[in-house]
Amino acid sequence: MKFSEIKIKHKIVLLVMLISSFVLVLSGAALFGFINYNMKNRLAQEMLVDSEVLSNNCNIALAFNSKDDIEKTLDFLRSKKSIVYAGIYDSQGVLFGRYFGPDQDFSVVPAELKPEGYYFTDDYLTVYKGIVLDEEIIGTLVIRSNLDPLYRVTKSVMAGTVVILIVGLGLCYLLSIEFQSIISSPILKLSVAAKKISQSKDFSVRVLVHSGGEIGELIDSFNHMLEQIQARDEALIDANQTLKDEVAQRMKTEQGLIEYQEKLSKSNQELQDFAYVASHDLREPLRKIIAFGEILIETLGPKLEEDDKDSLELMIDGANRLNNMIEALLTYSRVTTRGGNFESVDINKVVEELKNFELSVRIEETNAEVVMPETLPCIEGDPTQIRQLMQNLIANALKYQKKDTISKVEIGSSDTKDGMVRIEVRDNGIGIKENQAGGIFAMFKRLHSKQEYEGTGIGLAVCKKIVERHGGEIGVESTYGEGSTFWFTASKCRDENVKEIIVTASQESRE
Amino acid sequence: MAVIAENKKQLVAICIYTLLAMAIVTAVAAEDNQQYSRRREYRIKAEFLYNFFKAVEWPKESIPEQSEPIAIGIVGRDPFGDILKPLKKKTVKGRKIVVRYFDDPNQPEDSNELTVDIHEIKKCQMVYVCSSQQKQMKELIGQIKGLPVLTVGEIKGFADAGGVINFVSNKEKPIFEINMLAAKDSNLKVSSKLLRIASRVINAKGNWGKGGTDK
Repeated sequence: MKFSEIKIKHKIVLLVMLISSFVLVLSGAALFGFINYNMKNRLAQEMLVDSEVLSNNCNIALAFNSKDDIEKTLDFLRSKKSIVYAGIYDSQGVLFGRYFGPDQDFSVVPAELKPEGYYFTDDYLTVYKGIVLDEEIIGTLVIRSNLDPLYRVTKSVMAGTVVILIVGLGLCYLLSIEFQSIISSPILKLSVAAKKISQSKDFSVRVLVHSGGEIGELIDSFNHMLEQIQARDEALIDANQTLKDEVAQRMKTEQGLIEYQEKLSKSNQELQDFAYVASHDLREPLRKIIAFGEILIETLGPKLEEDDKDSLELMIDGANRLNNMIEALLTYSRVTTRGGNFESVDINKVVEELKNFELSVRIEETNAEVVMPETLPCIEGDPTQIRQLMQNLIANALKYQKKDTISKVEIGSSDTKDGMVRIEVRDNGIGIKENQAGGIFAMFKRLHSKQEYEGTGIGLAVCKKIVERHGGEIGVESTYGEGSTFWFTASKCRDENVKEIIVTASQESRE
Repeated sequence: MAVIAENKKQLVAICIYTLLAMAIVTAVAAEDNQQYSRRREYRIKAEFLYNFFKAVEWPKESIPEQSEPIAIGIVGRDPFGDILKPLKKKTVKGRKIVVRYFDDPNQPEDSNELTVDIHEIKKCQMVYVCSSQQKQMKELIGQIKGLPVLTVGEIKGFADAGGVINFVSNKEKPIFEINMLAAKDSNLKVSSKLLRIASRVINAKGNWGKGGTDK
């Protein structure tokens, strides 16, 4: 098991124990060393004193060669059990008298004489002391002691140290077990709380541990963090609820809208069906009125009074207008009901055809000019309706012409910002007053009397409806008395898009 | 038989000669041996004399100046000869040693009278009384008594007569006896360690006659 995996309380105990045992062993060793050193010193000092006394005591005996006296003197050492050998040598180093300790071990005799002083060897302490008589060294005293006293003390010190070590470590263990909780318990409580929170996701829990220092700060920060999380949590729950409510509200509204839309489209469909059927069926009696009215004029022509003839013509005219209106209404309603599929429509071609067919009579009559200064783009749309749209716009431009002025209609185009194409039909006609421009695309909106300019009042409404069906916008810009510009936007046809892209790419590659 | 007798005579003669030669050799050897042991004895005595200087303390005033030598006086017929020569090279108590001889060759052996210069003797720190002075030793001791002079003798009864140290003849090696009362009278301090070595210590009136014969 790695140290980092050990539980914190065991870690603390282990650390304390490690440090304590290190310190204890170190101090024990130091104490042991100190005592050993001291004991050695003391032993040596004692021996030195003994040797001093002995050498003083035997100098004259040595001088007078009194072996008996010297051995008697050395016998004084008998009281010192640790001394294993003592010898007195004359100035030539010849042994003169000697003493053996209680064991009578003859192997302890030193091999040679050394300079005065004490010498520790593995087993012995040996003191060499000169024997002086009247300032003259007349011999050497050698005393050799075994190290039993040292060993005795060493043993007891060692035993004491071991006992202190064991007791100390035991105490240390108990104390560290007791006191580790001061550090570990707040951390453990913190950890338990953190675990509990992560499992239960209950952020209202707080760690209630009073501790100072870093752990206290840690706990405070933890609690503070919990507070913030709780606050955020609550705010989130609130926001969530609000969102839910809002969504429910919207769903409700949407549901209502859908229902309303369904209702609306249903009624719209009914209305369109009605309008179509009605206009279709309305034309039948009208044609009869017109046809029989004309027959009446032809057959009764000369017999008719002038007034009656006028009345008949008025009637036919009214019926014709009504027929036109119905026709227009039918067209209007067909925009959505009979719409064709979208395909690429070449505006240039459309305009040319209009000029040659539908509008050729009017153009010839008024000597009007319809021009396209530049090639117009191709747009995506229902060809019939686009044709209708262009026809209405150009016809409109030709229609509202100032008296005695030749119409000039210009058809141009430009790209819009949102990637569509804008087609403009500019005229040099009467223009529209600013305050009147708003409702111009509404059904049956007419700015002029039918005497001034003919019309059903449906043409522009049809235009608007077609443009809207194609996803574009329609509008007018005009200066009263100078002319108007009607414009609409439509999607560029896809093929042209592709063409353009190819052109751009080839241009770029050329560069 | 005659031949045998002749041979016998010859044999006896050879034996006699041989024995004679052996006897002569032995005698010469014995004479040599005696000479040798006597020399050895005096060499040791000389060493002892030197060591007595060390083992005994004189009163300060009786010790000469540092530059002056310590004197040992040999009174009587000098038995040391050249043995004392090395002594002259040694120092004791930081001073050189000088040996002075006081001997009157004309002095009759029986006379108790002192014929040597007693005044000069008194100036010595140690006086060695030779065996030739057996008759005069009492007179000498009497003259020196009370002075800080260490008297050393080799005469039986010398210590009992009031001499401080006396060599007692011994086959093995010289030993000595000490008269502590005499030492005290002479103001000399004799080391107790010396006393331990001494064969006899006289330190009470009662001991005086113990080891030797008075008169």
